[in-house]
Amino acid sequence: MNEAAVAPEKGRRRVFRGGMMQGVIFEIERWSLSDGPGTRTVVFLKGCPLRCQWCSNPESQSKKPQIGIFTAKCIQCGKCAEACSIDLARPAKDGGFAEGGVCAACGDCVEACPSRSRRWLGKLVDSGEVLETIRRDMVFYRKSAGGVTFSGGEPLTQPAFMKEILEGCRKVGIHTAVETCGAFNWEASEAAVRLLDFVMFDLKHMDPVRHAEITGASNKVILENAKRVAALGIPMLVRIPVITGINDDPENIRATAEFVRDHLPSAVGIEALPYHKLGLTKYAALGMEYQLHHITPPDEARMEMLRGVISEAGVACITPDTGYIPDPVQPKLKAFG
Amino acid sequence: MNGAAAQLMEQTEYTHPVNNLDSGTGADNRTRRLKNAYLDATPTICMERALAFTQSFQETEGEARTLRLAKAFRRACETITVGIFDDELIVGTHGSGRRMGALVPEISWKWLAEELTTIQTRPRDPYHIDPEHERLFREEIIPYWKGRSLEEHALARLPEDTKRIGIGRDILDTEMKWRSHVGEITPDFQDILFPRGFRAICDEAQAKLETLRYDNIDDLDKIDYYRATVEACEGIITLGRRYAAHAEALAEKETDPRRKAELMTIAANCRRVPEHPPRNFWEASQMLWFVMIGCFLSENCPAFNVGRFDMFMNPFYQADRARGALSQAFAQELINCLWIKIAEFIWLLPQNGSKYYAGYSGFTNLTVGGRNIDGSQAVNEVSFMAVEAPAQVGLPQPSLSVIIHPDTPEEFLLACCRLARKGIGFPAFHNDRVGTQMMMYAGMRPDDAREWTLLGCVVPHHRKVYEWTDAGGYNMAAALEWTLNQGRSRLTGEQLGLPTKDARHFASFEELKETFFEQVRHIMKHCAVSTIIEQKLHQEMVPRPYLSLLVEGCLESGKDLVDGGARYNVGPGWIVVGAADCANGLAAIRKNVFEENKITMDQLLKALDDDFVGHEEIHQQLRKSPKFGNDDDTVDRLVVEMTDFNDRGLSQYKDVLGQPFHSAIMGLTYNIPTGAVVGALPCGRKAGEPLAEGCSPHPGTDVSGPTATMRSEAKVNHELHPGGTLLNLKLLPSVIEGHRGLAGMAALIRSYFELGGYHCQFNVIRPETLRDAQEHPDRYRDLVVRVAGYCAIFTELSREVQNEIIRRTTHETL
Repeated sequence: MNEAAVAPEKGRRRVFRGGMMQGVIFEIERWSLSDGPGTRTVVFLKGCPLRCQWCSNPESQSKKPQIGIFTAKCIQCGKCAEACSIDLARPAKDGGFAEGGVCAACGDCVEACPSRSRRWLGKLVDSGEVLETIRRDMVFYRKSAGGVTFSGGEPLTQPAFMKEILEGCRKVGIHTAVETCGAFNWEASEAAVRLLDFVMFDLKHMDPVRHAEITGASNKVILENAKRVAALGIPMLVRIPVITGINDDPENIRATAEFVRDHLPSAVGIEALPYHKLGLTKYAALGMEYQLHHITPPDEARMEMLRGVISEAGVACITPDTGYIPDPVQPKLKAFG
Repeated sequence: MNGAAAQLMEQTEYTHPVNNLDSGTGADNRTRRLKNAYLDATPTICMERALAFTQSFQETEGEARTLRLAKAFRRACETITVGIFDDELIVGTHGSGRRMGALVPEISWKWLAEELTTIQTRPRDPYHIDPEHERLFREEIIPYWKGRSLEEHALARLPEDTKRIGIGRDILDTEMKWRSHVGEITPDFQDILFPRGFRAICDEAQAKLETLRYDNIDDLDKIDYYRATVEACEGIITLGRRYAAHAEALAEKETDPRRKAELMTIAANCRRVPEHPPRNFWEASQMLWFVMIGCFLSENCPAFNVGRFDMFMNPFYQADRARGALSQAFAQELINCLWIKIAEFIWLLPQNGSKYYAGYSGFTNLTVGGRNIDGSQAVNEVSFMAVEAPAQVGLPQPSLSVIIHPDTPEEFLLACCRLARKGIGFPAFHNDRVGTQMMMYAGMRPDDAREWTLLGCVVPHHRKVYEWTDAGGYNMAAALEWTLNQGRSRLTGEQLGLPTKDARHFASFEELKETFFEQVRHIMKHCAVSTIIEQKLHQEMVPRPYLSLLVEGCLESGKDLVDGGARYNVGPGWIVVGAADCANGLAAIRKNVFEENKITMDQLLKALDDDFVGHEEIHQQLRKSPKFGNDDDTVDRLVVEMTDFNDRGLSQYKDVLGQPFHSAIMGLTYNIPTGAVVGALPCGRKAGEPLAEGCSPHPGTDVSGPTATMRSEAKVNHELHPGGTLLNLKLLPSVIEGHRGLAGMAALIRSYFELGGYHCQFNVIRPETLRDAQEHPDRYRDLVVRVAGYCAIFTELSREVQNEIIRRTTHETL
């Protein structure tokens, strides 16, 4: 793939429009059952300080809106090339871009593309627009004790934008949660964090050196931030993405569990999430290399063993069967039988 | 269940020889053995019933029609093979073996004469036919019925212009009620059958006869009616006795003491019911099945419903349990046996009909949950066992429906979700509030309406109602095609619709839309014409002496169901197909042609003519336009407009009993044949592809998750469509794993119902599983899927239907 094919990024401006904060998101997913208690709407914010090799949302890493090129959808109509003012865009099936030149991500080719082969990954939106979408599923939250979850990327790279939405949620009583990698600036984020009802906190590796190797940054700030969140008394769930051969040794898992037990009093438990490769097509669309092709997801036996390690350390394991928060209603097939 | 039956039960001695069977593994094996026997049985056409009717009719020439039909019914009860199969606890077949389809020559025989050579090999729902039965058909049945079937009379009476678009065109399907009986009733077990039994009904008819006089002109029809009632009662009572005798004979020969004891109880049960009221759970189950066989012997058609099974069975269950006469496991086993018997029933259909209703289904609905007439919630122990039965039996019938109310116990809803998660398509979830509203709109008292039940797939119904819930279906997408093509079919060029103006000359979107509604009204007129003529024919030719016994009001008034004898009469329902496609198409035209001027009308029409070939950009532009099912008001409001119009347009017409027609927006597999006759549509759908199913979004176009789909769906004013509305959601198992997933499903359903949705059901299957099943049907012979409001064995469906199931949107949220 030629160089220009690496996803172009739009110049990012943070502006106030009609008194509202703007932020960059790449998706709002409605009806998720695995991103916090109950039915969740998940707002994916762009921008992440880490570069985890297994990242399943590669479009979340850059803070700016990007143009994704999805080859399979391309009908080679040439509309993109016609629309491009600097004669750089080409149909995806012809490589997506001509040789040489730098794409400024003006978006003209996306607008022109009839087949959605060229698509914006990420867009600049008002906080009010996001809040409006979140509020649409109010009835689903009420019935399930659910709410909204901010994910990413690292959502706390946009703390002011998030804070404004969180305030809006609080006004109408929507439960709020975040999925964070922990690598955020505490001073800038504290006000937003204090508005959260639930925090899902990733701990990818306990060893700072190894952490830097696999994510591009040390875990020092991350562990500090975990303790600070716990100190605020916000219920938290620690999550470990389990990647075969990278962090799935029992020692690491045990060390994580002990850290949770000893330092995070507000933690409800640990959820170990098996690595998956569902993000692969997005790597291709962004012209990015995926480095873990050779790795297979951990099997159920391995996951079971690791959950055993967590339990042994005296920390609760959270699974799809436990719910995020102890559930008063247990499934019972024959209630009277 | 009323007080009288409960009291009766308490007074009678309960004498099971097979009490408290330890049926742990035994039950399991019995259910599995019966199921395997079912799967090994080939669907077969049986002429026994047709022969009985033919011979009886030859002897009753000149008598009143209702009496002739009652005598023919009695003859069938007296002559058909009585078959008790190994392991059965509930007995009775409506033909010479398992899975028999019965030809009903008084309605229609011509199709079989034409399809006799192909029926064993046709692509959808082929049937075996025995050479002897084939001979009977040719030599005994055809010669008598030639010129005498309802079909022939209908074809002679329907106006030419209605026939032109109403037969074999898939514009409107008028065949439904002249090629099949009506069905569509729910026997009143609570208030009539269980408390009384057929002997008491017969006695009452006799007593009435004694008060009537041949010299009173008003009494003449009633005399015929009550005489027919007596014949029908004697018929079904005889059938019970024949089974009793057969079971006694089998018991005599049986060497296994356990089976011998079972057969003796079966014999005792059949001596008791259906003649007299059942006294215990087993007798009640057997009575239920005899009543259903009577239905199947009377008519060949869909939708004889069991009704609110848990409501009327629970008193027997509680009483048996209280006296220690019945274990929970044995009760479950009996329910499983009943389940398998219901699955055996087949609605025999011509080739064309099998396009619409694929899967050998009898559409026998069984409903649990909901509320009682006093408003209290109705879930009980039997409700839980009914939800357990499909999991243990795993066959596509009966259609299990559950009615959910805010007060429905959470553990019951979770049990239902657990069943749905198994991916067999059951149960169908229904909203009590909206179902009650629909019944009230159809004319019921609010308290009666609370005891509503389900009919067929998703139709709200009540045991005290007579109606034609599926008078037929019509193709709304054809109206859109005509609007854009001056009333001509895009595929054949024929002038089928009104010759409205050239679409290039529409001055505004509003004008286009009004023209569209004009074309829809044109179809609706033919819907009404065909139904009214068919109803008159049914009154003349196929009154329903046996079925009138099962519905309150007929015996009291001395009037048959067809003449308005039922306590409530509700007008006929017509099913609209393709509302979502029309709304999507109109939205795309409004946006691209009238608002943004991206496409000219001329370009659009050319692209449609060419099925988008060579117009790829226009095609993509249209596909990109807003689609119903994504919580987008710009298009969702159009769907509401289409569906509201369906109610308003149809309800202007009145049926033969003076009742307004009503609207239904459900599925069956109507969307496939109707799609086949419509060319490319402005929503981007290509020529011949299936239309959207029922009230669901067009497959693959709802891409914003189930909450968005449900919010779109809930915008439809469901209470205006007493013919039922339908929403299928396909979910991948990974999304709903664990208790988290189960609770998530339950909350999803409750939320949808709070928003005003009426029905939803889930297809929880991996697409690769379905593809594999297509390649290796032998490995998947019990893979049950929800087709469109009903369930079928996947490998028995045609390739086309299979592909359609696979194509539906998969809501994957990972």
